[in-house]
Amino acid sequence: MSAAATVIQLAGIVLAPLLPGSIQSMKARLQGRHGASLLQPYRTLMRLWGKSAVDPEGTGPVYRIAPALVAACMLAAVAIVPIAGRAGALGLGDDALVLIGVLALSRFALAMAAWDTGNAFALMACARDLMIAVFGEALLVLAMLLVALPAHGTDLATMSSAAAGTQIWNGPAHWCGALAFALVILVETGRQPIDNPDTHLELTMIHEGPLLEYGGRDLALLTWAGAARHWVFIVLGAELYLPHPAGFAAGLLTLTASVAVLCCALAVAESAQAKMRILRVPALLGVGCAIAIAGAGMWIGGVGV
Amino acid sequence: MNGILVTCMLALALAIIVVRRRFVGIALLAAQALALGIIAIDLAGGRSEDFLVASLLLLSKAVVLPLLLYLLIRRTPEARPVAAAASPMVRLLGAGAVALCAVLLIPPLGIGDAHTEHTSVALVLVGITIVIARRPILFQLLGLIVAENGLSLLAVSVPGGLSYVVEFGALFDLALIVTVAAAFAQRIHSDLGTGDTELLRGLRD
Amino acid sequence: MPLLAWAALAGVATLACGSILAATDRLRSGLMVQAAAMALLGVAGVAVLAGGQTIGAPFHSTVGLAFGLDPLSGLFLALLSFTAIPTLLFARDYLPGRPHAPAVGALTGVFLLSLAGVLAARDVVSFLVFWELMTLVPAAAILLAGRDREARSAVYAYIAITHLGGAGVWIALLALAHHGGIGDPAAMASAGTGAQTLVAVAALIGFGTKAGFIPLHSWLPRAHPVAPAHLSALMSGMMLKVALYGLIRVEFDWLGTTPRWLGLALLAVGLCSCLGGVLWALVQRDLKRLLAYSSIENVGIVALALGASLLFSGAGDRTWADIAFAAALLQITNHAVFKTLLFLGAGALDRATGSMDLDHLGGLLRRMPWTGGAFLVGGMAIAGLPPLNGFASEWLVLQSLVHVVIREPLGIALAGALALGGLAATAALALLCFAQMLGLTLLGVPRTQRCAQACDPPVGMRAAMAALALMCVALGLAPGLLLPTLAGLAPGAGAPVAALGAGLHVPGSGSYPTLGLALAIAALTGVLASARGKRRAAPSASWACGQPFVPALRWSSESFTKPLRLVLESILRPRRTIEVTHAGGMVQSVSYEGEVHSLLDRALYEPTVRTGLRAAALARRTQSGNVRTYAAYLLGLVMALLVLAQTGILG
Repeated sequence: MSAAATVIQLAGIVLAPLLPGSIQSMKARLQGRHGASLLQPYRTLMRLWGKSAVDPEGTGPVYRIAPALVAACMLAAVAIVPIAGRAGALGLGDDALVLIGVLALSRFALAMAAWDTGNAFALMACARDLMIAVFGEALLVLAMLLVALPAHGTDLATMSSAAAGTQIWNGPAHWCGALAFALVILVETGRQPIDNPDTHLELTMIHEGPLLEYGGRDLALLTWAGAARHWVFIVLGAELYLPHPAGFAAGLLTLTASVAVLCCALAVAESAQAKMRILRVPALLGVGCAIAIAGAGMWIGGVGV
Repeated sequence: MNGILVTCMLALALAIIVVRRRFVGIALLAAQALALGIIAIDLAGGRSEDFLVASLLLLSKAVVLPLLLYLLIRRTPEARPVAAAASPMVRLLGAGAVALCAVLLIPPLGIGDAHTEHTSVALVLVGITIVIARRPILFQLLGLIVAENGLSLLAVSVPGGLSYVVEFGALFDLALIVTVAAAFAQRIHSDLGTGDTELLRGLRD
Repeated sequence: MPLLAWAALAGVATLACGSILAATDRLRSGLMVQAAAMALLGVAGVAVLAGGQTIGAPFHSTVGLAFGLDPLSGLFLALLSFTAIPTLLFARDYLPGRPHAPAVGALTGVFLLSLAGVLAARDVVSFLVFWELMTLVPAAAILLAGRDREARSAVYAYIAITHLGGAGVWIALLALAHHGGIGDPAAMASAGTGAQTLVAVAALIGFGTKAGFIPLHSWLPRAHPVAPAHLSALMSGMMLKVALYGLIRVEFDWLGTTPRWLGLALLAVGLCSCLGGVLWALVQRDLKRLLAYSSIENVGIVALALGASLLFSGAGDRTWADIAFAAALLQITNHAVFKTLLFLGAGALDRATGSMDLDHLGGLLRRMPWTGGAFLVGGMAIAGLPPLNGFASEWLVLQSLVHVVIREPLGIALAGALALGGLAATAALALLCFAQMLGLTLLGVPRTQRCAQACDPPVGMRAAMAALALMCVALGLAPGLLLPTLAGLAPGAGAPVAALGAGLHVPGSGSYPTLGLALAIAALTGVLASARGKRRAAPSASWACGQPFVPALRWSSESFTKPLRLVLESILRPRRTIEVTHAGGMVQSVSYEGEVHSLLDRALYEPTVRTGLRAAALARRTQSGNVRTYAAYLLGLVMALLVLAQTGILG
């Protein structure tokens, strides 16, 4: 528990939109365009906040509460993720499995909103999202398991401390975990080759589908929630699966650098690949699960440690 | 003398397997029962109870039952002779083989003398063979009665005699079975026109 | 304490009175009396659980009726009472007017009596008598409620499969009694590994059939949907749990030294049941059959936790064995509560709309707010979402499996890792399944006329469902208060786990602060929802690429699971036929028929039934109907016996 970590977690609420903004900006450069600036998401959020909205016919309280619930869940998730090996003092603990549960709640809320509107595109996108999540959640839990093994627990702060230093990179287990978590980041942030975040075709949307009917402040909340998802998974990846020192100050500096590196890597990975056929995605995630289980086996068997 | 009579009973049973006419079969059965009765009276010695039982046995099996069966065949005339399952020689040989096996295989029961024991068991098995080997219903009934005769022979040759309650019970059972079987035989005859049990196969689905 | 014993006896007597009352045409008062009786029994159960003492006779292996309660049976009895009282309240308004209502009401009382009897039985005879009664009474009630072909075939399959598998229960208990092992683990430990293996395997098969483990589950999805709603709730809520109680008693309490393979076997069975149950729940169109398959999934989760507990106790790790056992008991408690709620909700929906087909419901949340709200809470709880009770027990089971991987040697740890991945996938599949179920029944636009005119059921039914929903929320907010009691129930429990408040705090994890999380999410949602602002235009039609939104564009139950069905085609093996009619170059009509058969039905049951029938046909050839053939059989037998006697084989 650390006050500084708490302050940075709260700052994360404001800093989250920077991450997708920087990824979009880098992608534009790589594609030879000038592109929007890093702060474009903030401008979008402010514009949306000032707009009015139209509710679809036949919707009820579920449709109206869903964006608030999604945003509340992502706020709780941001409060659970520790910063540089120190947990925040916001009273929500820092357990990896609780984090996964909270993310599941946000997915459920969007699914309920999609059913309430009855919009075929929203439901199609939701169905695909939940189908990918079946394999994605197994992969996420197994990737977390690989870091829980050295830490002897699912406490995220302890996991970060146990993964510090260079010793843990001697054996193949942690490399397997890094590979698996890279796939997890792609799945959860909805980036290529799993999903195309820039698409405007309703038939190809996966993460944007349920957002089709929303406008105004609801859409602002949901856009922020998407950015918060980027924050949660990129910060987790940086402090669990990239090399970092044990101390807080040094860890914080390394964290900033790692986050920047991960954003660049995401931009490059997205520009280098096309979208994968959706029915092939579970096979890819299954391979990731197999790698994670192999890594766990190698850790327990003491290979290379 | 008893030994001769006992062997006579077995010979009469083997004869029932080969005869063709029902009347002759009933007569053979009556003779067999007569022999059984004489043996029973002989073995009864001086005991009055056993004497009573023996005489009843004689009466019912040698007189009453054959009379009942004679009445039955009078009421169920056969138009043609029933085709036999196998030729008489084969039947005789088969029954002889069964009797021989019985004599060879049966372990000593320790009830009476060995000759009577073997013959009674052979009679039971020959009775079952009669049921298997003959097609007309009446002969199957005769086979059953022959088997029961074998059991009665065993019962009367037990030293000290058998309780008359048991004997009466067995007689009553036999009477019941024969009555019911006779009723069925009459029914089958009226339905099928003949007592050939092979035709009963058609009743199975 | 004789007072508690008197309370239990009074409860049983009142239950009998209630049954008789219900049968003699005073149905509603009979059911109320039964509810009062269950309250008495619940008080006895809670007192025994909280006090930690044993009342009545102890377990014994000799023949002679004996009854008593100890803390484990007290927990299950309390659970029975907490789920039965709302069910009886619901039945008070649901049953009158249905066919043979007084008889069904009386049979409900007898069913509750048999459940309580199994829990209180202390010797073999009473256990088996009440066990058989517990199996047969619902069958009778199902046939009374409806005699159509589907009900009759369901009851036939139910009785056949539970008796064939349930032979295992008889074998296990009679073997235990033979060795004197009931209530005395030392006796079985000295009886040798052969006897222990026999008892363990027989108990796993016997109790597993009744609990609904795959592959012996086939009766569950047939029997639960055709029973009346309150009876389905009791069967799914409590009958499966009583079977698990029996399993826990034999495998944990009485088996002596636990064999190593048993924990792995439970893990394997649990994993198959989880994944199979939820996969086949996804493709169902009938609401009650979906709920029945999801019961199989939850029973699988309990098996996972029990297997983990056995593995820990085999390795001597007492703390985690107790925690895993508490996870299993907590999952049992939570499942009983929310499954009862869901079945009662399904009964209320059936009563209002006349249909259990998911494609004929819709939009019921706004038309039946109380039922819809309770059903929504139940659905969220069973999908394992924080801050409700389903997530609390699932979190504990996941923690147990993570610690199996951390603490156990290589082979077992890999099995634990597989189970962990499977359980995570199951949680996501359950989310899909119940999001679909809730969306189809409660949200959107009503699909039939009767749906559009549906209204809330009478007060009794609403109160029952609201009470169960409140229980879900309470169990979700304060599971940490139950954790020490549940961990103390583990056989051979070590040092007591301390209660650190309402949340779940286990060693080796960041904690799960239930109250804090619930408060945070609720408060933030409220604040953000009120910040939505007032500037809204009038509602307009939803986007359908510019064309008017017509009912034909709406999604059905099959559409939502289509991506998953395509991906898992080799497991689910869906069959479909599509007929397109052309006329004059234009498509006139398209007819689509799709079906997913249960894989195990086709792979396991149908071949078994076919082989059995073929063997019977073969045996029938010996029946010629001819007296002479039978006499020949007799002669042959006698000759064979004589030969055997002669050669001395028969001695």
